[in-house]
Amino acid sequence: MPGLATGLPLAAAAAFVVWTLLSAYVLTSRLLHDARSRRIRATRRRLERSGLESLPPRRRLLHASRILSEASRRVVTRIAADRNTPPGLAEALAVHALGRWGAAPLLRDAARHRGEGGRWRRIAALRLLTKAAHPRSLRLLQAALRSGDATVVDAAVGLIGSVPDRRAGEALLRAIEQRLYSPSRIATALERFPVDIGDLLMPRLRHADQVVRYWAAVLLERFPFAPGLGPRLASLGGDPDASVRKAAVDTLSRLGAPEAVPTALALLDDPVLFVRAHAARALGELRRADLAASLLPLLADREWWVRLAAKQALEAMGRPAAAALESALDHPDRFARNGAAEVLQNLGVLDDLARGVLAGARGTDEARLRRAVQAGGRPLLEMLAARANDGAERLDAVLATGLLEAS
Amino acid sequence: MKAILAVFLHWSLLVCLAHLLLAYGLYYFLLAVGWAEVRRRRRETQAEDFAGLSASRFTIPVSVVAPVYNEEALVVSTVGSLLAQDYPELEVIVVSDGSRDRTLECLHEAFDLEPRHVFHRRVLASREVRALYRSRRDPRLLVVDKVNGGKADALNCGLNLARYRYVCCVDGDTVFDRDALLRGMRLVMRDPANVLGVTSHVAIAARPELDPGAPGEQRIDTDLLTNFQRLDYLRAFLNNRSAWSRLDFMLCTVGAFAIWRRDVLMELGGFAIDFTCEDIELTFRVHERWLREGRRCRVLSLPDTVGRTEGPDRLSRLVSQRARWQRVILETVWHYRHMFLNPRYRAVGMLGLPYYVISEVLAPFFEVLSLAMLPLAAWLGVLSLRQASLFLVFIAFANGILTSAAVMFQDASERSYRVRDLLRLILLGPAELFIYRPPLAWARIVGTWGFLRGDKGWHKFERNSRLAAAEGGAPLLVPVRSEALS
Repeated sequence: MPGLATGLPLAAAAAFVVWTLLSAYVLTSRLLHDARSRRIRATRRRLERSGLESLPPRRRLLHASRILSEASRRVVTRIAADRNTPPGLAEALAVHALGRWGAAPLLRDAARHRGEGGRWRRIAALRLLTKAAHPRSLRLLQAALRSGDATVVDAAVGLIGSVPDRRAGEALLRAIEQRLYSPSRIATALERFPVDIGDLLMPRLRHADQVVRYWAAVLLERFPFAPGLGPRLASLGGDPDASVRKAAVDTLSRLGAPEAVPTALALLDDPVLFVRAHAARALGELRRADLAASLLPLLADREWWVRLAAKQALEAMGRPAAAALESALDHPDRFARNGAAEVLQNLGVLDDLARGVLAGARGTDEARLRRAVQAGGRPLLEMLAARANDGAERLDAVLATGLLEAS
Repeated sequence: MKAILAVFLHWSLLVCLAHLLLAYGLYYFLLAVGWAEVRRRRRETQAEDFAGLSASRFTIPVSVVAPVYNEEALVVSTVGSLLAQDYPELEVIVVSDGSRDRTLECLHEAFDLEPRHVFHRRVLASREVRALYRSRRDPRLLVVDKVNGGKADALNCGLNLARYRYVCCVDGDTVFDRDALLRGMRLVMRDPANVLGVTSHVAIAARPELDPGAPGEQRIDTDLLTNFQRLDYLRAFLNNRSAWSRLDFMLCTVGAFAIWRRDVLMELGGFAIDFTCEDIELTFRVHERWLREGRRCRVLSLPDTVGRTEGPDRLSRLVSQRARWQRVILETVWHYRHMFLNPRYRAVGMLGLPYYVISEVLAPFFEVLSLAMLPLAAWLGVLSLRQASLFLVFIAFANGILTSAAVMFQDASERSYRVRDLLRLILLGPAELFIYRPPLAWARIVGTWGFLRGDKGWHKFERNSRLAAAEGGAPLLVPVRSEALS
């Protein structure tokens, strides 16, 4: 093969050289990284041991500057940008960085970006400016929110969420309205927002956009003292949008508001399945065993998820719900009978009855257990016997349900 | 006769060379794309607010389904690592698929299980459930004891019991880092409407239950076979699947760790039981259905290491495993051959299927043919001994470049290993051709023959040998990831 005579040696040599260079690069870059990391760790240890976090901001900055005076820009910015750096320390580092190297390059990087590298420089610059509480940081973050770049927007959302300024809260709420990013991610930032924005959320309960109403209803859980919150949320129980109705009943139950029960009871008949399910869960969240009877019809709901939610809610109500559950053991609907038996099992009621019956108790306890086992069927009987460390045949014989024979 | 053979060899070698150039051209193209993707995901990970997500009630709940069969050696470690996930709301459903060893006893002892009846819908067909157990120690854990029906059947059983909107399907022999679920789900939560599936890199270890060590100090196994497998996985995930993900033809969400939107699985009828393995076929099916119906779908692969899975420590076991993988690839590619070069299926049809045909279907033949023909060609004078040697050197280092690149990607992202172990992995790259690739090529030939014969068996390999803890073996630990400053 004549072509190979010149081609092969060249190809083999090229492959070897590229492999060698690449491998050398891998090892060298790792060694350099380790050296850098050691410097960063050493500087960080000095900062942490000096007790900077406990100092007032001005003294903290002075003290940090003394320690950092010989640290390189890279070390300072890396520690400042690190999420694990305590906030007070990060702020001191960011202010030091701006004072020492100037804000101009950071402001330039934070304003816009082009390409992959520019994107990350922009995020790093935004982070430093935010930590340093630079006067232009919020405006730059708002511009980043509108950049259309999902990664930059994501970073901006997180950073705005850390700014203790009502305008930052307003910016995030507008971001939900304008669909600048995934609302649930924005809500994650608002969940921990350091300033009370209840008054910004309340008007949004009447917003024309159902997504805005939904998130306003959800986020108001953090601000239980917002004036008129309970009645406003209760009125959303009649909202045309099912998600909003769901959010309203969820938040009312989490707040334990007086309006929670009537709202949840009304929504148990909602035409949309997830609203019924959340209404059921809301009653469970409130632990109102006196309302157990109102959940029983949902054990026979046509939708599996609603029946599941009803069972979970009844279980959350605890043993006081047992009397209501036992009344459902004869329900004409098989799912309702199964569901009631299962919840009684999970509450431990059936285990107590089984222990008594196997030990010789008869009368009402035996009758109650028989009804429950007939409602739950053979699998329930077998599990009951297993937990009682006894044979299913013996329990079946004592109760005379005939379930094992029928199978 | 010799002359005819020489001519035949000449043209055969040219064909093999053409395939080689095409295959390596593809690998290097994917390497370049993969590098861009790995860099992007690494920076995203550095910028991500994991602490916020792990504490937020808006973080989407997940049902983890773990089918297990005869996993007494690893099941407690696996389940322990799942329950230790740093994730706000999850449930873990372990489905013992008719295990005949002490799998269930081990779970009973470790998690204090009690029998419970749980009424559930059987939307997906599966073999009979014998018993259900809840853990008294952790109510998020549900254990299912069912009649053996295969992994796909066990997964479908678990799906019937899953309560949440997203399902994470895992293997019973994989131990996960604490942030595995968070890393996977963060991609879902950015775009829940379009991201249907996510997978991520799972590293190979001879003993996945052992603590890998702190970042920067993690040791690799001394065993050569395990390390070759480690490199294989690194190339597959970091070079290839990262590129597939970026180019929108991610065609294999691994069974060890795959997050799916549950309604997608239900709409498709769950996992198929009539393929040798369930993971790759499901991924193909998702793409096929969604693209055919013009719906937007994204299936993503992360370069993050989310856990460790056991790799076979004996050659015979490795050959059995890889033969099985080859069978399922061929079954799947054949079944979905209508997507091949079909523009209706976009990148999947125009890039994904051709990639599979070139690098998975045809490659074993060309590899074996090349290895067999080279010495013959040298003997007949078609190639000089020097040329044959240079040819092998070229392939060895061409492969070594791919390996070094994968090691570079991994180290740049995670900085896990000691420097001396990095060196060892890099040096193993070129050596693979002579030690690791021949048995793999053979395994793929065996798998191809199995496909042609219609073999559907799993041929599960025995777990690697372990000393019991009481006999002084290493303790079973759940590893904890800690973020390293990069």
